[in-house]
Amino acid sequence: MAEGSSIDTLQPGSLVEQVQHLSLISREIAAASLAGQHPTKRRGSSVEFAEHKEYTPGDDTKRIDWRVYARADRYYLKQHQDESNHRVYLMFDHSGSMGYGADASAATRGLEKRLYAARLAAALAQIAMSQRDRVGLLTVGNGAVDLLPPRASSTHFEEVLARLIAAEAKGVSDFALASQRLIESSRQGAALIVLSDMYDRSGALIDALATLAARRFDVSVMHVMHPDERDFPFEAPAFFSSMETASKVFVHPRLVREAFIKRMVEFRERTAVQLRERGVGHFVAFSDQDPGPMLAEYLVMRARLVQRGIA
Amino acid sequence: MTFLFPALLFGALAASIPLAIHLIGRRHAGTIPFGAFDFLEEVVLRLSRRERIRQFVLMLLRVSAVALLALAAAAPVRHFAMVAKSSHDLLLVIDTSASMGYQQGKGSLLERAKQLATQRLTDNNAEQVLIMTSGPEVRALLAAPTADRGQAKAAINALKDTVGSADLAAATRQGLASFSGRAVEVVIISDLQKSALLGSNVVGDAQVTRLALVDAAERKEPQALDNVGITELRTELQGDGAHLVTVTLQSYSDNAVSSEVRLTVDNEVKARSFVELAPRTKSEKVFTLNDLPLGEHRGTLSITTPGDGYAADDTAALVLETLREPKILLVNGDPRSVPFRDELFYVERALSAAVPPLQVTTISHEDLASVTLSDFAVVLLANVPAPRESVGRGLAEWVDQGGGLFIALGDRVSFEAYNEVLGAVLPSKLRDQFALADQKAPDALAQAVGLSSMDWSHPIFRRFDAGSEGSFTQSHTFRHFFVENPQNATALLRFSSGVPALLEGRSPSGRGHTLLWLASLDRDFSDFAIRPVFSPFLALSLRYLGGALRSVPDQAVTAGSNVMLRAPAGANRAELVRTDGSATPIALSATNGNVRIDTAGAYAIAVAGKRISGSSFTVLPSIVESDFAIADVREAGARLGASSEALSASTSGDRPFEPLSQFAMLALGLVFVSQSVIARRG
Repeated sequence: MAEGSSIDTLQPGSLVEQVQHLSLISREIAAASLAGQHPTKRRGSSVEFAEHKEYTPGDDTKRIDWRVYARADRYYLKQHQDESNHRVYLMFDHSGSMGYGADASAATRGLEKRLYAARLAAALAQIAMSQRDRVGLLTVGNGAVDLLPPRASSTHFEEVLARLIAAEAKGVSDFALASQRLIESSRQGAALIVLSDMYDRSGALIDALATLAARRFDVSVMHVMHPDERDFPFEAPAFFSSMETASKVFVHPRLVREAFIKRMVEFRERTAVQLRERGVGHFVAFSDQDPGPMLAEYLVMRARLVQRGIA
Repeated sequence: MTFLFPALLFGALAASIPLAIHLIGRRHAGTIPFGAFDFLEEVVLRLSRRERIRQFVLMLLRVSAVALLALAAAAPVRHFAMVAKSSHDLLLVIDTSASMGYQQGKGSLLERAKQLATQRLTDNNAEQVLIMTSGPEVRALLAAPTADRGQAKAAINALKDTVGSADLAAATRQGLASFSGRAVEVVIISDLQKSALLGSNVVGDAQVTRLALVDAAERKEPQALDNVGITELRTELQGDGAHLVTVTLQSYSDNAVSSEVRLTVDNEVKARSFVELAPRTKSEKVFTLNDLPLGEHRGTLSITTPGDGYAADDTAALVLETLREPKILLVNGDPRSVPFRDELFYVERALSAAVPPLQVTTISHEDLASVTLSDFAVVLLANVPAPRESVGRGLAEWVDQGGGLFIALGDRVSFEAYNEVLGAVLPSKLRDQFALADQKAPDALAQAVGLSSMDWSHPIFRRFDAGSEGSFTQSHTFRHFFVENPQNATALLRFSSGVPALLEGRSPSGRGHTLLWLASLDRDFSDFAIRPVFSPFLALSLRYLGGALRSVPDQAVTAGSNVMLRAPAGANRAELVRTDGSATPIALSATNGNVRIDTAGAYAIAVAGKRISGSSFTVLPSIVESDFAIADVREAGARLGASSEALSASTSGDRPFEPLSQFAMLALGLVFVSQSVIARRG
């Protein structure tokens, strides 16, 4: 049974502990990666002052509060209410394939993709909420879509974590439905971070993300993969089965390794190209990587894309 | 094809291992839920068809590899089903006879036989080996059967000489006796001459699992090796002093050949000629040598034939002796004033025709007492009345010292007086004369007797040809003497009635000879004096008595046969001296002069270090070894006692079996390489 899914089903009393564990990790990750800000395309629509934020290189110098500078001899930026209430949606894929890595059949020690994606999602939520953004969660899997509307309250974060843990890797994901739900939920558009292994042979996921990007959604994808799906390090001949259907096939790993690796590289590159052509950012994360530096890298990449006008 | 270790073929069952691994491995393969299954399935399906074929080929190669490994381990062999499958020993019989010296290519047949024998030792899986050789004598190269291959090979390598004739059957029989009750494989390596395979049933009770007859000449076809040899060599001293050298060549080849014949005397080539020989025929060549000085001359007669690899019968030694003419004393017992009535009328005319002329002195019987006999080598008494007793003693002493006495009788001879005075030199006591017919009677010729039963082997008669016999038989003798006891004498010629006509006796010392002619030498007793053979008969008889005819055969004897050597009387020991100076002592008393000579060449007899004049003779190489016609090996093998299953008749010199393991190993190597390449490409 997957690591995360067993917590709320077998030990409901330890939910808080698990959340703390996740939030702690998220804080660490956030602290390690909080080198930039969360910019927005919409500027100055609200004049209500919210708080000051210390200047960091790359910030707009026009927004420096010179009065504070005169008093404190340090640069602070003025932040307004509208900026801190930015909406961030996390689309969390918990289809069957995201459960890979949860049991001993995996050849390498990468984390379960679902758990790894959940940690990233928690960290991103933490970061967003620390910036006063409202965070919404869209869990997609097992043929269903579950939406947690964006909020900025302190209890909301725990709710997000609870849902992430509860999302069992099972079945298939209906991204078209998720896209529809998201459009209905936010007509003004928002930031959308998709955490998925992108295994959707129908092409519905790419189309859905393209639709969302066209509806003023700031879409970026954290493409989560297990290292086994990158290196295919198996040796013994075995039957390999689908985690979403009943299909299986007998494979001599040594005979197919090279072709499989080549095919997966091609898949990642093609996915990246397709997404970027549709204005969607793409970032690959393997579950054997340390999530902190990886998330920092993601945020830097995202900042650059925003500066260039790409989400 | 068969296998030396067929049990190892069960190892081929291991060929099912790769298949079993494949099937069992698939059945027990685990199931791995995989996230990127769709992509994996896509890759597998894309590779599937090509991969299945590849996998099938790989499995075939692996199965083949195991099967080939088992096949190689089982030691497959080709050809002979009778290779001993269980524990057995090996008896190698190597022919070392003279014929194995035949040069074929760069080496002799013996060298090739040694290589084949060594090869057999390497290939054969026998526990113990014994090596026998068969030349002039059968010999075991090892004291006993041994498992030490190195020792056996060293013994084979040490083989050198090829002499004499082989008896392969005897060698095989003797070798088998060393393997008591054990299974033995017999390999006989020889040139397979018929003469070497004459034995029969040598196998007997021995457990011979296989008998292989291997041709050291490795002939593809049962064809004789090319050879022309000297089979006969005669020398004859003609009356004119010329030597006739007659050589007979025998072609043993299956092809027509041309041989060059060369006669060398005293290191000088005296004659040279070519002889054309049809397949397997004989040809005779005669050379005449004139004006050879007195004394002994040594030489060689050699032949050179293209393609002839056997040198042993290509050269024959030669000894030619030009002897000093003896001095002859003719004693006339009945001189007459009318020449044709004189007792020596026909004798003197017969001797005057001799070539070369004889040195003859004629005296009357009355002067015999005053003659110094030692001045003469031969004395002829013609119808001499019995001399005085002192003269008789003198004659006896002279003969005993080596003189030659010819006694011809006549009407003036009293047999009683002769028996009394000349009894010591007469070959046999005389009896009275007997008149068969009166020559003047009309039926005299019908009553007369002719001459017959001549000893053709005697030096006197050996020189007459068969056509001269009529001249003896057609003569007529009307009167002749009888002898009392001819057992101690040799009758060289008889009257047609069977009564001895010419007797030979030897003096007590053995050095002197006496010929007794039991009729007269004029026409009183017979008409022999007017017959054509009279002149040569008388001249040869006197030369014989004078030692001017060789006492040993002019015809060369063959190596391996016996020669009767005539040494001076009283000599108990003599030496047989070869051309190269080597001497072999002969105990004459033990051998009675009958000596076997195995080595060809020129010989002479010496006593006390001194060579005896006229004792030289030559020995030709054995022609038994000259014929390289190959025997019917199947017939010979069967005669040796091998069962048809055990017999392996090989004329191509091949090995007892042709190992095929190397082919299996080669195939195995190819399989491994193919497997590696295909697996790597996967």
